[in-house]
Amino acid sequence: MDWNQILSDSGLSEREVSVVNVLAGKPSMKASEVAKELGVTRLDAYKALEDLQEKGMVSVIADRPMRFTCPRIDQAVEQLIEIRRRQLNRIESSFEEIQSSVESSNFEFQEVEAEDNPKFTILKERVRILGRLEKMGNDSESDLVMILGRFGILPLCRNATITSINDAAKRGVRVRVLAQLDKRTVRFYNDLHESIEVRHSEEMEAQGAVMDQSEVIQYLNSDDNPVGKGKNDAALVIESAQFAENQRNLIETIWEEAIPFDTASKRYTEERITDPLKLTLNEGSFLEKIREVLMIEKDLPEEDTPFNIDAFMASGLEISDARKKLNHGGIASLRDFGIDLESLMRQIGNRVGQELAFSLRGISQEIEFLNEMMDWWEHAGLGTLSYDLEPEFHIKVQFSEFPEGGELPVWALDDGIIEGALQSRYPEGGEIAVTREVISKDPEALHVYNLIMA
Amino acid sequence: MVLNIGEVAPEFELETSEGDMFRLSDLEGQWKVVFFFAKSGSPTCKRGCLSFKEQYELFQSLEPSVEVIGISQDTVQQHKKFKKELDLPFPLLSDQERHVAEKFGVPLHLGLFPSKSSFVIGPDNTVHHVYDWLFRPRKHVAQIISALSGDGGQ
Repeated sequence: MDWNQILSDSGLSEREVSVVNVLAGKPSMKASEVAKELGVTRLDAYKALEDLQEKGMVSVIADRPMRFTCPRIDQAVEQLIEIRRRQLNRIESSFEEIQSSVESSNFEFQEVEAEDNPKFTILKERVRILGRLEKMGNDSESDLVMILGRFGILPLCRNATITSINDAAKRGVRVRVLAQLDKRTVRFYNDLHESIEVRHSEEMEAQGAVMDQSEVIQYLNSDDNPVGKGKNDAALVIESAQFAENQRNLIETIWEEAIPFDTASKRYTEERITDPLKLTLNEGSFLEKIREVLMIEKDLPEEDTPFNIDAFMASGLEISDARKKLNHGGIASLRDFGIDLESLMRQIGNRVGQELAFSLRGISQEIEFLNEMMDWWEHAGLGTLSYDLEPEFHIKVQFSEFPEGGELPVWALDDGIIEGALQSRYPEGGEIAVTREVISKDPEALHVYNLIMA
Repeated sequence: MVLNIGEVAPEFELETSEGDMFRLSDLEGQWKVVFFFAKSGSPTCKRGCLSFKEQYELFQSLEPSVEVIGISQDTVQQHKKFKKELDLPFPLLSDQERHVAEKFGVPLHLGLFPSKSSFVIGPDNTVHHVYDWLFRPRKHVAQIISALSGDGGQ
């Protein structure tokens, strides 16, 4: 018995054996060098090297051209035996499971197969989908994200799935829930284990789950009744590490923007919005803006200044006049930095308006809603809100005070409030469209909002 | 087009909530406020009618006194119920076909916003003030009183 015989018995082809003989225990070689040694074409050598790579016998060094290495021949054989042993173990355990009539096949085996061949399954009916989610809860090892849309929490809580998800959290799996909170469902989230992080996303309608780096489930259709049997529910299960990773990346982006449960749920428990307010200051290069503000033409002079100890010691202690001016510039300094104060105030106003509309959401009739808005507006002393019927119904926003340069543009805040309230009450794509039209010719009315019936 | 200031108010005859016939000419030579409202049950109309009720004594106490008349498309029965519910001291007239509303040029806004207009008619039977009160029912009553009490009014 020689090494070649052992290698051959281990399942290597004749050519692969020759390649191992050439490479084993030597420094890395190029494919062309291997081909030359064996007296075969470079293409044949490549093919054999590729097959050996798949078997884990040969490694590639990323170089141009690529270089190949192989362990010492005894180590290579040990490696082959180990690979074979693992394969045998898998066959044995799968076989045992089938024999003991266990419904599902060996998980590890499935995972290895899934890595090589992504698989997908379509599940129909809610009970089957929930069953699969329950299995995901049981199988998850490190990470599970549940996407519950608006009402997904309801069927979950009425099913054993919630137990399996809570159990996963208890055994240390990081379980996260992304949902669109609703007044009717908010209390059900209390059924989730305390370590499960829940976040709210306003636009979240989708339902599904991502388990570890292996499996994704995505609802394709769901019945309107969230507590019904869900006969028409359908979901796609995808077993693919890459797909799972891609989905996770997408979810992470939404997760970052989503609002923590405790904050988001206040709109139902305390009837108010307390979400963090994220503002956009402006676009463009702020480095360039500060260069302009500080009147620096270049970052540093290209040539060294004459060597002068006093100058060196003093440098850094000097504050330029432009920088000093900033201290006393007040609001104008902020503008110099390129901070769009109108936009800033408008964004704050939008949020105030959004909260105002939220507080008036119980008013179903539009006339009553607008009446309240107008009363609030005057009560708050923000100016006059009026309306006009020609050429189409619109709300007129008038300001009693005009903004002057150097002042905080509070008018933009007022403007933002009405804009935010109307946009919140009449979202895009709804029956009533709100457009904003600036009437510059009318000095009494800075802005006019048209409330148009779509 | 809505009836303008200075134009003569058209004569009309409508049924009151008590089933009597009411003619504008019944109040010949008097100051009157003819207000058109949308629907008996709607909150803004309720507020509007209640504001007229609250200020009714004031309207009556003005020199010379001012009469108040409400008109809507509601039926006589609906008006009867509404008037009783709010204990309104002035007549409500039923204009189901909008004949009178059209004579006064009361607009129908977008179908969704039923029109509400008020006309202050003088003893000379001409229109002295016109108010649209789609919103702010109480404020519009205040505006009418202010106009009637001021020098520009009566």
